Amino acid sequence: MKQNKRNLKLLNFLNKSRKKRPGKKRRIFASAVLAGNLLFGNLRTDYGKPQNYSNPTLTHEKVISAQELNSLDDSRNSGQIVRTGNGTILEFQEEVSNASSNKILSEHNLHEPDDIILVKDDGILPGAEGFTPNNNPRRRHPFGRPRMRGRGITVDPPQNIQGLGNIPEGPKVRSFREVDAGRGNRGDQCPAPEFDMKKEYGNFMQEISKKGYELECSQERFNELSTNPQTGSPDEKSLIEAKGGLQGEAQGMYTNIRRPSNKAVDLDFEIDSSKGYTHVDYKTPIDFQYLADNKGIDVSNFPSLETVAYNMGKKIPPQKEEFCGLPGGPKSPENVLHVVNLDLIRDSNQKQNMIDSVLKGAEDKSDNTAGIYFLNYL
Amino acid sequence: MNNNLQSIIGNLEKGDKLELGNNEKFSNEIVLNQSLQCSVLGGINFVNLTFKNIDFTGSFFSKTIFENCRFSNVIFRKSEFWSCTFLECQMTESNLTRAEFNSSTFKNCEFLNSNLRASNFMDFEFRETIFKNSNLDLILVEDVKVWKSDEWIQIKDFSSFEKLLIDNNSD
Repeated sequence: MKQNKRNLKLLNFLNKSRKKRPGKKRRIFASAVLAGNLLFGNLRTDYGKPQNYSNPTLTHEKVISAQELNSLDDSRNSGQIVRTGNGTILEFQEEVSNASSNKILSEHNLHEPDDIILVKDDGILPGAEGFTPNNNPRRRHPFGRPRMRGRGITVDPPQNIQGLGNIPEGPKVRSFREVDAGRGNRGDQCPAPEFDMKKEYGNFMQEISKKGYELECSQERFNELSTNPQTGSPDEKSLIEAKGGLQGEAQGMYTNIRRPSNKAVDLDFEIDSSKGYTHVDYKTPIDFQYLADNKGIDVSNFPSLETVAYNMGKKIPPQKEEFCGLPGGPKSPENVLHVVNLDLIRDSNQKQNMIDSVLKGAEDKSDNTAGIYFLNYL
Repeated sequence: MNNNLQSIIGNLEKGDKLELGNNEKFSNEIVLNQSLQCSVLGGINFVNLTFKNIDFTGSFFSKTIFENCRFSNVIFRKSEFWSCTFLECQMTESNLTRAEFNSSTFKNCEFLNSNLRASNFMDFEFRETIFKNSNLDLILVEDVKVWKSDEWIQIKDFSSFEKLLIDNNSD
């Protein structure tokens, strides 16, 4: 009960951070959630059974920007930073009192309260002599930590969860014959879905503003991005992709997002990026538990979200290669960015599990988790 | 439970998605001219259904069985299939580009003039299934087996896939 209360407080804090500072870009790392999970012993590694972490190894840190530092001056957000013996930095929410944090520290055999210090600079901790801040540029991404590696976390492969059977590494079959977009691509006889694009645009701009992002996007551009390049009409799926794509742009992941100039390059968008990305593809997993809670759907008829995420991660590396070399396509897999938009997933712990599973899948497939970002991960 | 799929679709309000997941069974229906993008279906059994001019783009199907169904000009683009079974089905002039099939089976199925470009098959089984005049460019295959001559043959490369599943003599 007490543990749940603490988790709730942490979530409240994160939600509060999300809502305030309208118009400013927010930068809070998902590591805060993970740190909370580790601290409060609520991390699940086998998708079902709660694990008992009596002596956790804390390996995640929070690096903050100058902008976020300014917000720390705000009394509503003056979270405390704790450095542990191994140089790990943890942030406590404001509601966790010194006494509480001392208790947590002692429960987990962490350091004495003199390790509790306040952040005074851009990720550098005065008084943290002897602790070398991590200068890995991937941890100092301008729009927040784009990807997390599930270090120290064991994720069971999906075959143990859903009884899908062993999925060994199998051969990949690829063909590079000429693109034939004619067969089975008619679609013109299917009724086009109807949308009030003005309303969709208004709602989206309101939503993006509520999330604290600034976005310059005209109705016309919104309509263009929401148009399925294969059919030339706006549709539900393209609308979802456009909303994620524009939020990614608002967060500074890339600029000038647009639909591919060559239809044969069947990735969601073309982009400009200082990191060399030229194309981006969006994944937006569904929250089955939401359907169970709100539509009375039997969730046992669906795979676990971790299974979905693991397979998603496993497919990402080969998908990056799919359209390379085509006219107007990416030159190499490194030019393709995959963004997993977790906007529909309600539970923060679930989001964290999914992040770990996606990365685990990609790593198992190719030993490479580069070019995978997460959106709405808190 | 045996409902009528047409009436369920007809009762959807504007903006509603088709979301079914309680082991419903639908049989002997013809479903025509519907936009059902981003549907979510789990544990559904479709028997003797004809789907014509249906747009299922971006939908999610789980533990769903399609038995003796006919699909004509159906769009499954960017849809996901998990633990689904297609038995004695025929897909004609259909769009399955970038569809993802996971832990599923096609048995005695036929694809005619359909587009499966850049679709993904993972942990998949084909039995007596054939692709005629269909586009399979850029497909990704992992752990795919084909039942042939009373044994499972693991697909190792595109040529074996082509040899076992694609009918190049049709037009």
